[in-house]
Amino acid sequence: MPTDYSLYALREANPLNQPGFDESIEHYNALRIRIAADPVTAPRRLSHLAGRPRLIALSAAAAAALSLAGVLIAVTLSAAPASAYAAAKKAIAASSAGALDSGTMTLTSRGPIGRGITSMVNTIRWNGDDIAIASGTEGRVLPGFDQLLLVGGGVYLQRTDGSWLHYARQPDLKTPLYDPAGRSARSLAAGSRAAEIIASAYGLQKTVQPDGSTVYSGTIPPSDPAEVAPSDDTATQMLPVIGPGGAFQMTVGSDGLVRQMSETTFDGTAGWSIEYSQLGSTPPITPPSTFTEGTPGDLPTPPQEEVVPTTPAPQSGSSDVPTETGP
Amino acid sequence: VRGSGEEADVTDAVSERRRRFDALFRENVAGIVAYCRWRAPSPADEEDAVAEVFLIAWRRLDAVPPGERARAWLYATARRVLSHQARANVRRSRLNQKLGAQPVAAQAGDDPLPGRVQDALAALSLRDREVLLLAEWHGLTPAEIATVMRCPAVTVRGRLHRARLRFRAAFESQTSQRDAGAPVAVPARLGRCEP
Repeated sequence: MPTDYSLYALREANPLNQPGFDESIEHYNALRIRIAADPVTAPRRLSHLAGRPRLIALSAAAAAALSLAGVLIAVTLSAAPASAYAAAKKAIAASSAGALDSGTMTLTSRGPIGRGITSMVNTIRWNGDDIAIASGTEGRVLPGFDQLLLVGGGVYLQRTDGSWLHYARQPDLKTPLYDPAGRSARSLAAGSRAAEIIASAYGLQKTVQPDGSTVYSGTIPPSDPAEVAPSDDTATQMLPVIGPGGAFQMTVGSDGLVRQMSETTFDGTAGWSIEYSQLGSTPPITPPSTFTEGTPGDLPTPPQEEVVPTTPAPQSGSSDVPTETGP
Repeated sequence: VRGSGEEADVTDAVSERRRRFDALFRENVAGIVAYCRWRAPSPADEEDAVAEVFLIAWRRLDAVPPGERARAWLYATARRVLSHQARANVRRSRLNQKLGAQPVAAQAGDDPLPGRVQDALAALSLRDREVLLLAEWHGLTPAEIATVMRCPAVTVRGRLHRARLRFRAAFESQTSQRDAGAPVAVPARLGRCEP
């Protein structure tokens, strides 16, 4: 045997050159996105701005977020997805406000939503702890206003004429009308509603598309409507409740982030969808340059909310309803 | 309320930081994964270590040296992370023993090394193995290895020379044993035999 054969064999055994090595590290790309989306340390190098109160507050919030991200990374990486459920939940967590510092969601609803409205489009943007909610079609989400900004703990409401009202704190609004919208938006941005749906969906299927994206599809349980209703009623402010037997679908991009999710009733007459965009790159939400201090008298009286109808369930035993159970 | 100029400064700095981290990650993730893979006792530990290395790099991006020197910095960080992890595993193992629990076995069967090479590497000390693999697999220069292992470059050169000789001897010895049909103990992952 040649004396240098050992080193030749050693170099040949280099795992970096083994077939499949590149594929085995592909999932680390999600780690890169998650770490780089963390807002925590980004402002650190801006030492000349570090003394500003705004950035001090951001730094404190970011420290908590980094801790959360660290835990998320450890949990996510140490438990590789064993099923479509785990992979779907992972994508939701990676795309949520807990993991990404900013994002935009466009909500589209069709069907009986309430107060005679049958379709609606509105957007939610978040950046750090700040959030912007558009009132959407016919101003259903924020009756009497076009937009709501929750910035730095304060509230800014944009009237339909374009002018802005400012309230120092959310409780100053003295009305339950706008608080549910804020809570609902935060719930959606945090991915709570999506996680609930995933957890309750039956027979979740995972299909990888030619473009590298992955489609998850499942069915809303036929038996117990309570299982598919949100754990609190905040999400119903923006999304109609889809009855049992409905279909759920979620598309995750090749980068591991959610691109779109939707729910449709079993008969296809109603549904909602959320398109995700500018994840990690949504611009900061800034308060308006001019505004007037609002008073409780500036707010309209909340109209009586109609009960949002739930679409009828298919008959038990329908062939459309799978019998497979979730995890 | 921030002015638009300050916002632009913040946005530019964040974008620049992310670009630099992205480049650092893309250029080095394969090497760091491979390094952690042969040193960590299990795939879960490997993934934890890689995540920790790049989280530290993101947190301390200003401390990461520019250019080629970043690679040695990352390997040095990975080495420290794996050392902390090994100590934690030892503590956990002792706790498990106290509690009467069985330690979780490392997952075997995913090691890509051909048996003879693996056997020969397992016969080396961890220090010899590390200096040898950093040079032969990861392509680090003696000066870079010195940075990783925190010792003079001249020491690395001497150690690398001796490690090559010992590996060759072990490799040929393993080959002879295999030819003679003698059983050889094969660790699933190289790092497991020495914490």
